[in-house]
Amino acid sequence: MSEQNSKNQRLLGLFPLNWRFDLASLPGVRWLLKQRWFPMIVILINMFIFIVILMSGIMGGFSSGNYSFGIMFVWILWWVLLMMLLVPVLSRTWCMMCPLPSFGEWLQRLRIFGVNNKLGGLNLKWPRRLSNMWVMNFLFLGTTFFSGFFTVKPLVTFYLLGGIIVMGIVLSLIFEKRSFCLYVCPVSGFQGLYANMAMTEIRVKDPNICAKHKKKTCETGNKKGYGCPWLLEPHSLKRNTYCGMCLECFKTCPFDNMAFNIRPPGTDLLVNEKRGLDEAWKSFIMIAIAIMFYVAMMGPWGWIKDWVRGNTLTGWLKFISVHTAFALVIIPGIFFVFSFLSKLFSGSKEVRLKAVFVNLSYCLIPMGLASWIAFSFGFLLPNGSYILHILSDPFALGWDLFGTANIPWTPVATGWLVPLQFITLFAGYLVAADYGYKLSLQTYTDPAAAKRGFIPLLVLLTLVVIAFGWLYGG
Amino acid sequence: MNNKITVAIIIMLTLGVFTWLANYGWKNRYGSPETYEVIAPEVVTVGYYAEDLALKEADVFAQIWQKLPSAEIVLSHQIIEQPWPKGSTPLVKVQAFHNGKDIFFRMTWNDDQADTAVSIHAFVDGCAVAVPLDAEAPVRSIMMGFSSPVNIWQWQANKDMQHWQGKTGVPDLDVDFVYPFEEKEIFSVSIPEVKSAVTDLLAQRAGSLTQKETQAVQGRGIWRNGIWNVVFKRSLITNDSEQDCQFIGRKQMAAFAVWDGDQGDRGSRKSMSEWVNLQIEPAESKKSAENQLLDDNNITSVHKVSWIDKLRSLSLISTAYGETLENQSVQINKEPRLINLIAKRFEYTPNRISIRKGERVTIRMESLDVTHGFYLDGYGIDIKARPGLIGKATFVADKSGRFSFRCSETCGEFHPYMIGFIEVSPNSRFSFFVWSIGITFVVMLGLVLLKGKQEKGIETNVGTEQ
Amino acid sequence: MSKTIIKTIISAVLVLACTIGPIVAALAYESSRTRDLTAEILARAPEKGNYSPRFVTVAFGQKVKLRVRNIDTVTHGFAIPALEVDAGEIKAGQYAVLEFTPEKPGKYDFYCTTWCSEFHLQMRGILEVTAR
Ligand code: SF4
Ligand SMILES: [Cu+2]
Ligand SMILES: [Cu+2]
Repeated sequence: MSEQNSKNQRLLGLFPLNWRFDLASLPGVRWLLKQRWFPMIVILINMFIFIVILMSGIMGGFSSGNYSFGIMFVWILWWVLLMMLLVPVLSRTWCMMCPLPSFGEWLQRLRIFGVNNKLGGLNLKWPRRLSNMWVMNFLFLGTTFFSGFFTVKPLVTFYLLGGIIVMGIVLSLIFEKRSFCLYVCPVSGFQGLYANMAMTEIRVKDPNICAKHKKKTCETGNKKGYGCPWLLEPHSLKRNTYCGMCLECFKTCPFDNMAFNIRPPGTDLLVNEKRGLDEAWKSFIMIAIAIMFYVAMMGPWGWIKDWVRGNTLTGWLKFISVHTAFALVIIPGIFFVFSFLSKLFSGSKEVRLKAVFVNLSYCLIPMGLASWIAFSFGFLLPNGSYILHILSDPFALGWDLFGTANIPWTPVATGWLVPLQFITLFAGYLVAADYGYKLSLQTYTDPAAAKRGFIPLLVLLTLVVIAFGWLYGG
Repeated sequence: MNNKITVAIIIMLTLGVFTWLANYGWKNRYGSPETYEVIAPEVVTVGYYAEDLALKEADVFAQIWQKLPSAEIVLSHQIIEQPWPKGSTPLVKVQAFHNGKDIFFRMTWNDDQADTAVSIHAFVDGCAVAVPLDAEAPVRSIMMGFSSPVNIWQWQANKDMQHWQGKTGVPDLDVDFVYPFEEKEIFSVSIPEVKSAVTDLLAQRAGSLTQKETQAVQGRGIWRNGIWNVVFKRSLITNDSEQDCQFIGRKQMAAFAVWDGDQGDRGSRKSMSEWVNLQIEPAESKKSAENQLLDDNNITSVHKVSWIDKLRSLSLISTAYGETLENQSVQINKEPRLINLIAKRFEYTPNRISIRKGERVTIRMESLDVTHGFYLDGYGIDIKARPGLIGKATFVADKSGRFSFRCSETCGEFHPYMIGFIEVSPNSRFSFFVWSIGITFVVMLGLVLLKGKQEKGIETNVGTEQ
Repeated sequence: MSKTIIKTIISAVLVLACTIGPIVAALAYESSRTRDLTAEILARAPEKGNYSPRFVTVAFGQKVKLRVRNIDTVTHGFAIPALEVDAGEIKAGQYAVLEFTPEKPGKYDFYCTTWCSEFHLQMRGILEVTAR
């Protein structure tokens, strides 16, 4: 039904939002996606890399972060890749190849490649009241309290990643399937949120086939694969947010009814399913963290750096309280004011303020993603050359595996850094405004009211983008 | 039931392994569990004794030295700057007292041979006491001569011979004291008339070591039974507080150095100590005098600043200090504008620099702690400032916009985040950005407001499930 | 039957290679590289533990091969002035290998040559060359 409705809508007035192309229709692709070894082999390769990261973390201790494999790989390569490529283009493909929960999953399944639908562990249901993003919100925010430690001290990166792995194992043994990924993993929340912007998706080809298929093997699993580990109903999947792209449904569907679509970016923003304050706050938190990271890591203010790196305990406590207040209260507060204005402008009586607040918050996703991409350029261009060094000398023991160990720190194209950031922000602004308008139309039933209600939102987005531009290069 | 036990066991095992690894990593966070207790600075007590020494030969071994406590001070090779000494004098004993008027130091150290004459291949024994002009200067920085100029009293055996025994060595060959960061040794013609066995010097930093006009220190050294005994004498206060350290309060600092001539020590080739705290005990009946001295100090501290400026102007750069040049009328092709940058972990001061497009600027950077760098985005300029030495670069600001400069020498954990901003105004890139946003804003607003009426059938609730 | 066994073996090998594999490989490679070292000295600022070890004993008459590894976050140095051995600046995360043969037994001080901390002057240790 939604497909039919959105037929007339176009992104920026150009790209039709309902355009899809099924990658799995290409020869060989569906075959690959249906192989039992397929994502697992990628997981194993990533497992190898993460073991090296963990080792370099333990061995690296408090030594210099810029020569540590763990720090550089995780915080320059992986994080930047997530923000710039994996999430905005490929949705949650990272979750497809993520080795972090694998130990737990193997223990549940007692298989690595094979299928065993009688899962081990306690298989408890995740508590209903926690079945939302709040746990991830707080965990992710809490993690950033330590950003002055784990981005510079190899050992702390080990604690962070090791902690995630241990938590994954423990929770997988207690709760069913990928409850850990869905509700706890700190990396999961922002991926889910920003995956709405992605240019790929997994959906059914023809809902009518699903409607006739009574056994719903994509939920229950069969000999070919597991029932959806992410506790979804693949046959009626509408949003990327909670789909970890594990590809099991490709294997379990007897009718080859699953599709791996390419699509215009951001169509999920308009899907009103499972929207809520938790996802809105995730959006606010991500924007707050982008600002805070920039100020602390790429700003010139030494006293803030002293706070963030925990030079004194009181300084660090000040930092976490300011940061928390900023992320949980101030930014949502500002947004609340503008959504209130939006409702006022629209003159609409029947729409509830909460609905306005929640619905409109989704237009912050393109803005937030753009600010993160822009921020990531600031890591990639000046410090990307460290990657070459640490590939050759992963444990800072003086190795030279690929002959690149002696490449000195060479910033690349730093003159282009600020222009690139501006371009990214501008693109984010355009997309955000466009979706803001569409969201406004969706929220207020009356188009005229929607247009009036959109004005405060547009003003807010303009202010936000100028603020980011000023911060990054003003 | 069985299942639960298995799960519990696996969880315990996982937690156990992780805890063990975490603990192992923590214990080895500095590479190995071996630790080191940092040694606090040695304390030399400067007691009050109503005794005066005229520096006769017997005064070097006077009764008072027998009863004074002596501090054993560890020396190490001066090794920060080349050339290095070959051997070293491991230890020097230091005693000190004052009599309300003068302050006395005695340094004693083992040396199996007294070298008292200079020639091309022979060098003399010597020793020195260094005292900062500002008693409160932070320890780490005096060593590198930033916060405070330093007095250096250098005793040399050949001058001692000339002064006390009238012997003349080779008169025209002498090696001056070289401050640790001196770039090269200075061979200079010695002062024609030796008024004292001790040369009274003033140092601020590399290249700024000067001999003072007024020589305020006397000293005498005697070698006996393989031991050098050298006594220094200076009045507690002098009337030249711009150039002389003043022993006014209870605290002062001092450092000691020893040259061993037959090991080839001269100039920077010496053994030296860390900074040592002097604890000066007050004379009982000197309350009023002390107050008066404190007043003196207040006045002089004003002068001190000007003296630092004078030194700055002396050293390395002939133009005046940066701030004075920061007026708006600097023009292209003239003297580049000087920007003084102070780098310390993990901040630059100033941390935001604004210059105008086309301006020629010189960045002059010094470090307050360890080696720092300066890499300017977009311009590719890279400077390095080792402690005590200055990094410089001159360039024309021909690209406008805001550029970050970042540290290019790993200097501590937050090194990658050590950043400052240079704003080359007008910031046309940012203006362009703001204009584009502004125009887009107006266009979108216009589209929304004007197009409103003609559109009729935009479906609402695109994805809503009904 | 045999097919499942082969499958099991392959997956076990793969999983082991990707988990234990890097650990074993790294340790083996490192030990092969350090076999001929007389000693490895870690360089850290004094407040972070100083040189480790600070006392190194070597036998007289043999070639000494030292590896000085800076595992700190600031630049250090390493020099034995009496033996005219100097590694120059060793930057954070870098290392230096020094090879020399002491000419006579004795105790030799080694020092850090780069100002690295307010306690820099305490960054020193002793290399003892023992007569047989
Ligand atoms: S099986 Fe479930 S989790 Fe996996 S890709 Fe399909 S919908 Fe997503
Ligand atoms: Cu620095
Ligand atoms: Cu050092």
